[in-house]
Amino acid sequence: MEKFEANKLMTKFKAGTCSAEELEVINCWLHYFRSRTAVKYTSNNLEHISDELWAKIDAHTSVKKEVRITLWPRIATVAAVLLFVFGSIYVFQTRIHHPKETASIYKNDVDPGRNKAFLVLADGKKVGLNHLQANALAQPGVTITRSGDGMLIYKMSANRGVTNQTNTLETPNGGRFQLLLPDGTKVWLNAASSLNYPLSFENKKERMVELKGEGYFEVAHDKLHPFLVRSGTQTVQVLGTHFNIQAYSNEKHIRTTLISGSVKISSNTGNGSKILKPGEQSDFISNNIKVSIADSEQATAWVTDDFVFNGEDLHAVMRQIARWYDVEVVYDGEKDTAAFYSTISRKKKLSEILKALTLNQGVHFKLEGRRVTVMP
Amino acid sequence: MSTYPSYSDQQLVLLFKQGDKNAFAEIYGRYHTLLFLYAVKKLSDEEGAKDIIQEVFVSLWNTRDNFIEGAPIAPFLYRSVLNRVRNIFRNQEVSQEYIASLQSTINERHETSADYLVREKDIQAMIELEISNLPDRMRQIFELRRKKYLSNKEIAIELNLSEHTVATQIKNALRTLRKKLGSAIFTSYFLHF
Repeated sequence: MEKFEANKLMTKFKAGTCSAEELEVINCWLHYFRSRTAVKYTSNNLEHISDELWAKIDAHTSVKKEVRITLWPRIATVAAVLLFVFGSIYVFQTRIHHPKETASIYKNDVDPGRNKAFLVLADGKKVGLNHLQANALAQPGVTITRSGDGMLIYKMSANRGVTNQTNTLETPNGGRFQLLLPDGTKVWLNAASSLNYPLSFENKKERMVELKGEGYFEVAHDKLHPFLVRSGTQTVQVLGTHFNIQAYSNEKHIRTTLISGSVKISSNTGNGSKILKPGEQSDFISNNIKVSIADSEQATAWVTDDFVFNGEDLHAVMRQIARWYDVEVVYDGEKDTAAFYSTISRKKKLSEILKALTLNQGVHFKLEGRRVTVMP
Repeated sequence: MSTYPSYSDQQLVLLFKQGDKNAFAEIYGRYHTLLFLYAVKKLSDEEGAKDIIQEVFVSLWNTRDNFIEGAPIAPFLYRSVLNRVRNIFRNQEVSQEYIASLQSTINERHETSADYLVREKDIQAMIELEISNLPDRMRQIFELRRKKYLSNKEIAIELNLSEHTVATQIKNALRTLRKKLGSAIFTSYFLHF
């Protein structure tokens, strides 16, 4: 990283043209700035300020007065009903006319992602799975059905044959799907991902699939037929285990997180390989494999429909949001890319997620159609 | 009433989200003096610092619906104050003192850009520093207060347990909380920034 220079940085700060990184430097400096200055206040001074401040804050944070009902219960009941009705209208209107203190703008809302995927058949034909109901699709040697809860099920048919044909399951932005392969292996596919797999593993030494994007695998145990997942130039070899691979092209590395069992990560071009133990993760970047302790809960949160942010910067957080809500993210002016620490349900509407980020991180957003603008 | 001082910050957050003013008052009691001193030292302007503290707490109350259960309150408050202080600094005359001090920050931390993130440990350090610098009587009150509510996590930090252990404890606690509240409505926020 290029070293900052105080004079230049201060000029940019004054002009409001700091990058996110530079703004962090300003924050860091200000946080400690004059922190060791001696306090000139006495206990009495501070208590006085405390009382004075509380009086003001108390006045601005009133709770609704309760209505005491002591006489004429019927009239009181009617009054209470009217009070409730008009009170609700009042509260409702107040909320509309006086949005809470925030500069965020929500012109509309965006629903979270849902079960949505396309299947690319052996002949290249693309089928939307929302329209594939109970009626089965026939592919050589297998029957394919869709179960109600967003899972595609492959079963070997009676006239099983040896085939080298493949299918590809593709999820768009805002989609996800599950897949049960004929060997019993279960795969969860996150948004903006695809998995290519052979129609049948019969007569194959290896069970080889190819993943783009993110998938969580529960591989059926079969010692004689190793399961291989290729992503770009990385291959993960497994015997039978649970693990997550994140291999989005717009993330800086391919991350493999092992929940149970054992996997071997190797490069298709280099010669290095590493074996992961449960609870470990590997980051694969330009044929280098770095193993570290995994944050398993974070890596698999999406499977249970949560976002878990554990120190990611703003851009990484927004990439996940863009994929799941199928929105475009643009950045406007200087911004603060603090590390985010948060667990939020992915089932919420987009505005809820953005509000939570605003509150906890001080970032503001403008939501128009399917475009989110991140404002300073 | 008398039980509030023994609640952890996270318990208070749960209560004040439901509109419990006493819980809010307790949060105020725990942090406003430290935050005021934090701001006033930087600004050298008592009225300006008071305004900031007032804004931060009023805004906290008014947006309590959005505040996430399980979220640590201290980093949020410090960050809110820091952002407001920063806005004031931006419109101030730049003195040589600022430049020199900024340069020394840069010289101290220069490995990666992540070095500059103000993390929870920086907030903890600031809280400790401010308490230790309080005038005597005030400091004794604060120390007694803290003994009542010091959360497991803070205790872990004080006992020098590893961050991992601390994180695990928090996660377990949140998991329990999530079960109690039902996962669909549960959102939480882990500290720092």
